[in-house]
Amino acid sequence: MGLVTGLLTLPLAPARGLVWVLDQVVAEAEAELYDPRRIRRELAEASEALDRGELDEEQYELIEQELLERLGGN
Amino acid sequence: MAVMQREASSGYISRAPRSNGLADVLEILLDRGLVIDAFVRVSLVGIELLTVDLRVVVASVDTYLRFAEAVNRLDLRAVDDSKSVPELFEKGEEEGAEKKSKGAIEGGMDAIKEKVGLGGREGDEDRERERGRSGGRGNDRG
Amino acid sequence: MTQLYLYGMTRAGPLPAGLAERGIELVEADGRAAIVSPIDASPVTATRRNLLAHADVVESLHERAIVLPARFGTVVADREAALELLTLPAVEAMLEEHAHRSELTLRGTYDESVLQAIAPAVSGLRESYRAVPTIEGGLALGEAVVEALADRRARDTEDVLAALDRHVVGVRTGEPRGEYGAFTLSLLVTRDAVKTIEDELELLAQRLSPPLRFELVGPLPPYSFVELELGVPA
Repeated sequence: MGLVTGLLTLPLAPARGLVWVLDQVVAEAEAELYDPRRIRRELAEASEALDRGELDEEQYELIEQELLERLGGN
Repeated sequence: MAVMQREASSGYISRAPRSNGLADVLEILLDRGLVIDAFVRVSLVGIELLTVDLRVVVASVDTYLRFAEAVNRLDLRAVDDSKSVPELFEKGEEEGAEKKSKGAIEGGMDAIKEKVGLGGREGDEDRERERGRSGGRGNDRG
Repeated sequence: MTQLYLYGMTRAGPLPAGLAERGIELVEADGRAAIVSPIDASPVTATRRNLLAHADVVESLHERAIVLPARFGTVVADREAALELLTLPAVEAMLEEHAHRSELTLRGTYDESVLQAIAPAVSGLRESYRAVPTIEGGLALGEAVVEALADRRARDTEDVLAALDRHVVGVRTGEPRGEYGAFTLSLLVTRDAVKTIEDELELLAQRLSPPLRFELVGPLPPYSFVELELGVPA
């Protein structure tokens, strides 16, 4: 994939006093974990993986169960 | 679900006669459709929870920095003296930081995959491709 | 206790054999029909299987006559409840209004070359960031990129809407998909306008692609144009 660098290639070296940035990102990540939008996105991604043959039905359904449970547990 | 690439217009149009994958269906069945008040029966996890409030637009720190890197890397073909920020730090440090942050943010899918024995790191490339496409932030709903 | 899962409403008529085999039934009254299947009393989970099945049922039936699709997860108590629903004036009104209509979903997404296109707008910040890379600089640059993309998105969406305006009955906007998403438009069209939309899209692609990529889905039942909330008295 060309220009977009996946998730993070951040220069997160805490020693530089950039801990606040890391904290923000982590806090956001945790909030995101239970975000319905994120869960929807992950369901869709898993579904696409299934369609591509990277997962079989059983694996997909395990992931799905986990994701839907995450909603219930929130 | 058939999808055809049209030869004309250099294949920039894809065409599907029906709903095309779970992503389409999630939107169209959970956010749209006839609502029969007082009759809706949902699972424990709650349709309401999966129904997305599309009015909230969130641009995250993570998003900004990714875009910065992406646009920064344009034109980096020939020898270029300016280093992008990751290169300013020791390799070891960078990898450590990367692993830590990756763990925190990608937690979801990787953790799940590992839990069900699929291995979090498998298909990372594919996942990065997907992530490039599915950041999921957007505009007001009409 | 058996209840009925409601997929949507349509005109009365024969049910395709494939659907009947899967347990789908039509509860009919006065030329209208509720599309149902019996389910046991447990709640309905929004699993891939169930979601795809629901879409498949309403989209298959929509090939032969207008279907007003219900939101996922709708369950009615029994046939009597379904019949009550069918007698609501709003249902007949919608069936008539949308009789010869379908929905098309038009999604626009940018490929990476859009960054080339917007780079001039952020060149100052980019040069600063390159010269002295800092997190703050990165955030400022990133924010500027996001803004430039938003401008681009707005312009392209307007362009597309202007081109399609006279061929559609209605439009509803949704969330663009992903960070590089441009727009998601739900178009309400007459069935015979679908070809025109396709042709118009070709012309748009000639002008706007790349960096825009289009995805056109349908004809679908009018999911996005049946937003009336119906309440059946207890």
